[in-house]
Amino acid sequence: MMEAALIAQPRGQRRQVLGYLLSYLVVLAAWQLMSLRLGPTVMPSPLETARAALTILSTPVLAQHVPITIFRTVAGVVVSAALAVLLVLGARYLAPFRVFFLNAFYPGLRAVPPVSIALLAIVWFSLGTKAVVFVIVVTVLPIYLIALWEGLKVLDEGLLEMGYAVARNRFAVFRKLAAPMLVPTMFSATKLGFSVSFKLALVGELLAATEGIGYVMHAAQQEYKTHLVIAWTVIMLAVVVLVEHYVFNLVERKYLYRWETTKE
Amino acid sequence: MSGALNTEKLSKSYGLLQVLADVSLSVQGGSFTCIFGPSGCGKTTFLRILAGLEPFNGGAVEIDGQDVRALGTGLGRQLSIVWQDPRLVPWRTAGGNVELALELRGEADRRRRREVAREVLRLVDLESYYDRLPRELSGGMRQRVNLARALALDTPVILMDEPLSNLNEITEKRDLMEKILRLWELRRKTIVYITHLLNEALYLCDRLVLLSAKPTVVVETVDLTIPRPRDLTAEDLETIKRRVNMLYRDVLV
Repeated sequence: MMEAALIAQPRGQRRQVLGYLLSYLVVLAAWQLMSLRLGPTVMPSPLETARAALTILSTPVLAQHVPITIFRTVAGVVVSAALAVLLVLGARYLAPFRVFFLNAFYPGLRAVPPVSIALLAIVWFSLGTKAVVFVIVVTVLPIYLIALWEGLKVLDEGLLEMGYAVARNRFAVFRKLAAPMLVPTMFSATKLGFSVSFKLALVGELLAATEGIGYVMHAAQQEYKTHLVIAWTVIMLAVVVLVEHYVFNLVERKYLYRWETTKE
Repeated sequence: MSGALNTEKLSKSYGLLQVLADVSLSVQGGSFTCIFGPSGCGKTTFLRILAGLEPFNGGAVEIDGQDVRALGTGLGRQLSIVWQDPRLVPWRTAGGNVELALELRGEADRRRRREVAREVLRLVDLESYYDRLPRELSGGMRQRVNLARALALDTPVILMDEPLSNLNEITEKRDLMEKILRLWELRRKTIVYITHLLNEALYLCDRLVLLSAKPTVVVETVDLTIPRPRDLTAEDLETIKRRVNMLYRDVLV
């Protein structure tokens, strides 16, 4: 039985790899067919796109624009997180602000369309990083607000009471117990916030910047270089996957396992 | 600080429901007092009031002659609590949980915190489990960390809220009772121990306070001068059990 399982395992793995390869081949074949039918301006072929991606990777354009977009993305996430912490704590501990926060600020912020924000950002900050970060913050902030607000509601009251019985100081209890308890909540919000922020950075750059990937993609689209638009999209997809795998998953595995609930 | 505790005509209501009615109690410093009463009579509410975690409607609570309400942040230095459930933070080790209590208390010296944590974990036979997370410990071990945390705070009074009730194994219960007794004899802190199990109370305490059902009053106080370790089947303890059972039959009827 055991031997059979050991023999079956590599065969199962081979099948899995074959399955992956086959699904990619199907996608590429469909892509190629669409390219032949629609023409290279509307849908460039996979080969043409791969060539364009290689060109991007081998020129300074990548090093010039990718760091700018990543910086804007990270800045948007950091500012959103910091603002959310301040606002949620304010709402938790200041009753008059809580009313405004719950009834006006949070629902209003959630409903503002990103396009309006982008257009206003250009008016208020002119083209550049500030405008793009503003667009990100206004849109990503509600993700943090809802996560933190709900996270505060489900804090372990027993632990907080234990802490208060020892410290008799609510700030110490917040710092030593409530804040660490909110780490997984913040982490999940950051994971979601990062991917949303990245997409928004591109949209923001398209409208309100003169550099960054969104701007370069827009320029390529204006010149009907669709193969470059798709090549940039593929590169960006790879960046997001790499960040997800090497940053978020690593942090989750290394540091967040301790937050697992106590088991009998 | 002797850790003497007094309540004078203590009363507590939740709306129209009166939980405690004029509970007066005097606990000597360094004594082991068990508060015994039927389930739901307000024992935990009483303990939470003593700990300053619950407001009360009338009367007074004093530790060493000082009103607990006037003690403010100083109350944390007067008493510590062994909780019914261990209330350990899951992301810290056994040692880390004990150290956390000292951090919350404001102990800034990291080496000192570590020393104290090691010392108290040794007292509860968990020194070799210092680096284990709570989820890696048994229920009994977690409860011993809970006890060690209270010991680390070195307060004159330790309040214990049914610390054995979450343990399933009879051996774990017996083991923890022995440890509590040994540590009390070693450190002579004032212990106020809440329980609804008469055998547990008779085995542990030198003063038994019997509470009635709601609205709760102190029915009787029994001083136990029987030497330890106690045999729960011994005639003198059986006599007390019979008397308590008779009393409760009368009180509850």
